[in-house]
Amino acid sequence: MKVDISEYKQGLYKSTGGLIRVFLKEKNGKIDDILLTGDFFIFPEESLDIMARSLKEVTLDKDAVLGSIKEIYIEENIDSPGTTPKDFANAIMAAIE
Amino acid sequence: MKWRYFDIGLVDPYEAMAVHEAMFISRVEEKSPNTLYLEQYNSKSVFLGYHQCAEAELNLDYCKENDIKVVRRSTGGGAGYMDLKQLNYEVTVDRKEYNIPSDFVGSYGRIMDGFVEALKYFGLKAEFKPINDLIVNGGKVSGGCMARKDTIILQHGSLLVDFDLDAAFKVLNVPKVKYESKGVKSAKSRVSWINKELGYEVDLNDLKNAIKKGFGKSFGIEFEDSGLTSYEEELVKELLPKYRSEEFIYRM
Repeated sequence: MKVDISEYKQGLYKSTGGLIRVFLKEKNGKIDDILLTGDFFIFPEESLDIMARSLKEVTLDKDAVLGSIKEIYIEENIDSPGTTPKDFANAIMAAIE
Repeated sequence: MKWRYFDIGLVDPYEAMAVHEAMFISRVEEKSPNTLYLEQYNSKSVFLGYHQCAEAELNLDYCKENDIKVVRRSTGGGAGYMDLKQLNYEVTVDRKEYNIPSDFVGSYGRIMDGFVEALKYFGLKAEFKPINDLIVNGGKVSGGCMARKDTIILQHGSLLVDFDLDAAFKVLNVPKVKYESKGVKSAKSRVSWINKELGYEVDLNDLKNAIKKGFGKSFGIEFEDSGLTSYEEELVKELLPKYRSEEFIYRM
């Protein structure tokens, strides 16, 4: 295990495509570190790590998070059957609720 | 058109993952034919999806205490518990050759039709339910996932034959939110397996033959029985250390 998930806040959200489990660390209202995990499908597979990296430093506000995810979807040409950018944003926001 | 049919029998689960990827790579490089491959694992094992967090999804202490090998796939989807009695499959195919849809659900469902046909030989009515379920009498008997490169599809998954439901739910941490959305009372009630549906113990060879016949019918193909090519064997050797490494298994 690379990181100790007990130090992270966990957010769960079930999309049609699967269960999203987010682990995040918050700092000054922004995402300090984030792990996007779950049993959903996403193509290309590597795009999920890219999405996680791009979310660092993003303000923990639903619109800001969603906007950032949508950008990555376009840039990486992501196909995630049954899971939408909004589902990822919901999982992230669930971690801080 | 002929596909390769390869039944490896009982196999080490880590080696199995290397075999899956080797056949896919070789198919992408047009060095191997379209293939229907079947396997059983030689030990109790649990397979994590590529994006799953091992610590969150699994009861790792239970796995250790019960000699259950923790394995990670290179494909997405969810964790599955397997013992020696279940059957697992892989299909590698060029979707262009069989008018297989390009989208995930369309292509997944098309390939699952081989199993739908296979189970008809036992009088079982199976249906594909998006995104990746094969359902018999309301119970999921198969789950799986795929990798895609260009027009080549790798689809692999399970066919539950005689499932140890209690062990599976000790291994897996299934949060309520996972099954509540499907309108069922418990995750356990969502799962079924062939012997349960049949009411008797199926002969595994009969089942394998039916799968072969089912795919033959569904895709209009014949099979040639053969094993790995020497190139695929080389790839397996190269890939195996990755699947056995803690770094990969516990990547998150």
